Amino acid sequence: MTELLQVRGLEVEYTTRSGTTPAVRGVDFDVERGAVVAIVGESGSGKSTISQALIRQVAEGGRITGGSVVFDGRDLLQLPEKSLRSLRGARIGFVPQDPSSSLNPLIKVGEQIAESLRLHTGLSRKDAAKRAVEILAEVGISEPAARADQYPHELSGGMRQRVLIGIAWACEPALVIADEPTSALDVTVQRHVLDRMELLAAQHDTAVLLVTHDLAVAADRASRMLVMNQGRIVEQGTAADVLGDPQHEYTRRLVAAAPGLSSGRMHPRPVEVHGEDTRRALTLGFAERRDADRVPNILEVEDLVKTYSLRGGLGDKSTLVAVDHVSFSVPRGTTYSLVGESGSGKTTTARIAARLVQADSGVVRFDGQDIGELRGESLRQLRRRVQVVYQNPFGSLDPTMTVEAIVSEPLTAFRIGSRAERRETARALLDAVRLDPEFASRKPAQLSGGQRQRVAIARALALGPELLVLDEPVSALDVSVQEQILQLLVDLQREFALSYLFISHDLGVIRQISDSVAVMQHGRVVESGSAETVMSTPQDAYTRELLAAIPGAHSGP
Amino acid sequence: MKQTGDSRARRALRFIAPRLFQFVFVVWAAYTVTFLLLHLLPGDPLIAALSVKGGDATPTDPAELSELRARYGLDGSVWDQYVTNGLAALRGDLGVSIATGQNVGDMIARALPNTAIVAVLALLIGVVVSLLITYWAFVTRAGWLRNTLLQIPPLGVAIPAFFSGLVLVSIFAYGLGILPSSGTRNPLSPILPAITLAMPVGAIFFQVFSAAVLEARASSYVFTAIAKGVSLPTLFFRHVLRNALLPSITILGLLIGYLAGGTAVVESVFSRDGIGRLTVDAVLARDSNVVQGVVIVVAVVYSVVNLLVDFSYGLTDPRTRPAALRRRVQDARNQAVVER
Repeated sequence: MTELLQVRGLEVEYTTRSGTTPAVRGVDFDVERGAVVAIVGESGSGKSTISQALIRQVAEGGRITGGSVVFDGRDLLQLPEKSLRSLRGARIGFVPQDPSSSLNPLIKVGEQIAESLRLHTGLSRKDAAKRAVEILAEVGISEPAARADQYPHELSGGMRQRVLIGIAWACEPALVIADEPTSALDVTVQRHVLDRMELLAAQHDTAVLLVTHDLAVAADRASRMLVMNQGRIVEQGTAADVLGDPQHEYTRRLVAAAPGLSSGRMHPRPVEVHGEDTRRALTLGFAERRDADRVPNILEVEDLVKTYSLRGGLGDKSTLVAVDHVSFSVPRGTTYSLVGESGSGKTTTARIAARLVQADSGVVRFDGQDIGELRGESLRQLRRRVQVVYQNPFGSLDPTMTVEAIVSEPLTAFRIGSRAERRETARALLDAVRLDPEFASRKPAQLSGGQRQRVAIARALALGPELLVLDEPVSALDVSVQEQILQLLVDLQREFALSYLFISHDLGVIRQISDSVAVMQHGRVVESGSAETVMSTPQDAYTRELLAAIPGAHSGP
Repeated sequence: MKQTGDSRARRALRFIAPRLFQFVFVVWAAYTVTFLLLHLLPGDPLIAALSVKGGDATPTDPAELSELRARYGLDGSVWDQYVTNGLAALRGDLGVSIATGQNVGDMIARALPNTAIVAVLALLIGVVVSLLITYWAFVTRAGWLRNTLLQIPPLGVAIPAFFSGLVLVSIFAYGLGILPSSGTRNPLSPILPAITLAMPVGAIFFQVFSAAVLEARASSYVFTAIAKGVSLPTLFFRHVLRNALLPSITILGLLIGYLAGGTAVVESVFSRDGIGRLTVDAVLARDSNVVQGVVIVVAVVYSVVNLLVDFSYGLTDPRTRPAALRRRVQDARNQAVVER
């Protein structure tokens, strides 16, 4: 018996009102002592369900229907609840996905670690509290004694994830299951957190089962990889083998799509020529574009400043400078990207540029015209020319409207065309974003994330805008879908002569679509230039750190 | 993170001041609105009350009437009455009842304890029973049992108090003879009215509380606790209960307000001399002074309770403590620095 964990024929299914769906369909794998094994797959592949099934705690509605999970000689699926509880937290640690909600908001973080210690090691209240502070120091939290006395909301996302890692490792387990431990974190933070996990695993000789959607993270950290698709393991082997010579067709697609592993800007594919009628329908809402006396830059931003006052009360003045003297310009027909981590001010900058938020000072010129003072009808007309696509395709579409109504709504709002013409246009637009026009009668709930984002893009195109502000348009999507949407955006840019202001935290994505890049930190632009130059010869230390933090740098194909 | 005593006091003031202002506003608004309703309605409040009381014997002599007006604080212009009565109420003087000639303050002081004990008891029964049922539903593994348990309490809202009260009386008072059916003299007398009232009150509390518990149960931090190896009772009392109490406290505040004024039916069924019955009698007798006095007292009770609820948020949830808000700002600024 050398293997720490042996999973054989594991099957899990979910029962909902609409019936029973298998989530995991017969999975076999082993985890050796002290090894780091990664389970990779896209959303819905069943990888998170496996991680929960291993500690016999699948989400509401889920049921383990078959197989065995032998941990250290005992089948966890057969153990009585009480013995299982004595293993959870003691011999098997768990690092959950979302640090913002995975800590009890009402209990101090030190106590949350101490609880686990008292439960399994029999330490006294005082000793457990003392040990908890030591653990906080071990996971890399500065001033651990003070931090232990704070509540989760007083800590940043990265620190919370460290606390969760501390809980998982508190009782020196033999196995830690980490379910997407860093997908909610900024890249630079992600790197530090993963480094810390690696260090702890090495120090305590812990086996780690790393569940992730990010092929590059898996490649960097794991010795062995399992690739999951639709509840089955389709490929497994060492990380180098799987990535270097993928055998299964799905793995090949995944490897090709991973942004961290490929590089260079995408090229637009030739557009299939639309018929005269489709062309007319497609451009129904398009305003006449003035071709004479055009300024070379579609958007110019000068010296923007935006300050938020945070929670006033009586005479309390704490302010946050969200955008700090930012200037840039977007040449017509190109993609200008703002990169930065959360809180860098990139989204606020984009919102000001789209005139959704007013700046405190500074000038925004769209097509040579200062838009800061626009009001009423002229502002409405501006909206036709500047459209925004948001990050979350689940929240930005009205769930009660059909796709056709969503796409043609801008036309309705501007009273363009007859009802029949608008319907025609909606179908042409869906076709343009490579969606089957038969989707027109569906509701958003019946669409996948990628399809929804296509609908959102189609809606943005309806009025024939000249500038699209794309706020993290692909970060909520799986990698293979991400790539398709990015390719679509590149194609549409050529087809409709669009300019893009593109916001992302992901340098891999930025590299695939940008002509120019501005790197933002703490509301300031720390570096800007052509995408190629910034990526290949970064000047600023922060840019270099961002680039170094992209997973996939350790080992590539 | 040093705090000087001065800044802490200021912070506490900043937290308390707006709530105190709200308190004063609610009481003032309740007084003003009832005053306007009573005085701007067509008809003379004094004559209306006297005619209910005396029938044909209602005095019509102007001298006698104006003397009565002065005694009941109904003389002078509407504005004069508003100011004089308001100031008197501030001093604790709620005037004299037109119907009985007694001091309104005394009448309310006599009735209030009878209502309070029933209300407090009802709330206690409602909350404890909700807690027990929810806990049972939480620990049971049988899905059908959980669903059944969670479906019971809505019945409490559906059954009207005059019906459930009569059923309880016929069983426990007339059938078994172990509890008094009416009155306020017997020390056991609050029990049946309290149970009657606990049903709708407890059911409303239960709906909010059990929903909050189920939501907490599905949350990520409960998963974290399970992954730590925490047992079911610890999970419920340590991790779920306090989180579920947050939304429940709000509804508790509203329920206490409802209890303070909504005991009329129960007090009629059980013939108890409480605030509810006092109000009903006063309205029937067109006794504007008593109505006015009851409204002011109930408004004060309601506001005090909600003031306490507001403060208890701070005790239950560290995120709503005023100091936390400022620290969050600091945190946002330092985040990137600390991260490294």
